[in-house]
Amino acid sequence: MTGQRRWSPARAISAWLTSVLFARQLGDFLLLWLVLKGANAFTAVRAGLPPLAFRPGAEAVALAFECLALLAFQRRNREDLLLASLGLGRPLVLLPFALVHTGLSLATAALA
Amino acid sequence: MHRFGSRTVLHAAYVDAVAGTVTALVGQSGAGKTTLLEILVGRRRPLDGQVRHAGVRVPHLSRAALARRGVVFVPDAPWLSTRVRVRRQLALVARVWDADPIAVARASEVQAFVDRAPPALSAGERRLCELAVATACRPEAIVLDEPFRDLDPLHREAIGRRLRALAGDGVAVLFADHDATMVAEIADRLFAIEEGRTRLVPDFRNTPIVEWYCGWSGLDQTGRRVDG
Repeated sequence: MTGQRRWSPARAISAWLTSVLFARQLGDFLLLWLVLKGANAFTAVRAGLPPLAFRPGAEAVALAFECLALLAFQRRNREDLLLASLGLGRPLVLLPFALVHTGLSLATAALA
Repeated sequence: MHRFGSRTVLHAAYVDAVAGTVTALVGQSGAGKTTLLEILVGRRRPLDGQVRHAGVRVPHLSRAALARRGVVFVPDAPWLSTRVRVRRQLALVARVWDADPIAVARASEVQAFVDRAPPALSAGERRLCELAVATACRPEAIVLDEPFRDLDPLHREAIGRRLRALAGDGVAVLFADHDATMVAEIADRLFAIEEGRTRLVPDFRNTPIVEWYCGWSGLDQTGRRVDG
């Protein structure tokens, strides 16, 4: 352990994104995305709208639910303190999942 | 100062951690030890008072922000991921802070069980692993809540050795615990907290243990008088 202690956000995020920890969390998040996407599609069909279209309002609500559930999962699995010890605050922890949500929803809408 | 409802748990409480020393905080159950530590590490906001880091007043900070400033908190409850092996968690933290995970594991005496996930560890092994991961953050200050609680003598000794070694490396170590033997063995300084007030006990090794706890009031937590 030599050299000066220095924190770099890029280093912290890249270490986390390439870790088994993130892979597990991503697995949780994909399940959450599927559940919320299903619920959104169901309400869209009932309202006579295309089920898999990208509707920003509905996507934002779904993403908010997914993030809250993900934070609860992280807490339950005791990963919140571990992530904090990497110097990663909640906004940074949620950012990759927001990008995954948006990317998946746009891709689904384009393919539908 | 801090209150829970109408009950004031901290009145005039002060505690500090000094680089290269081990500081212990003792007090009866409910005296406010954990609350004081939690204020120090940003888990609670004081109603009145301030936290200073390297002499500079710091606002209420998240745990992540504190980690970036070099302050790591090791709570008494388990805090490592339950579904990832310790070796991977140690490697992850070490990568972020540019530490050598193998050297940390060796120094923390956890090589024998880093390939297990935390639920498969005994309380003592888990506590050592948590300390190893905290050490991989290369902290300037480490704050621990009851690090010796429910541990067998061998693990207590191992944790004590590790805390002394960290202080030897220049880390400011601050812990709260009831284990008077370990406190006397490893601490350089002792703060006692009683009825929400703290005091530095100057010559604590030559002071009867009851006076650590009841030095002001002479009363135990049931209100009974104790003999110093």
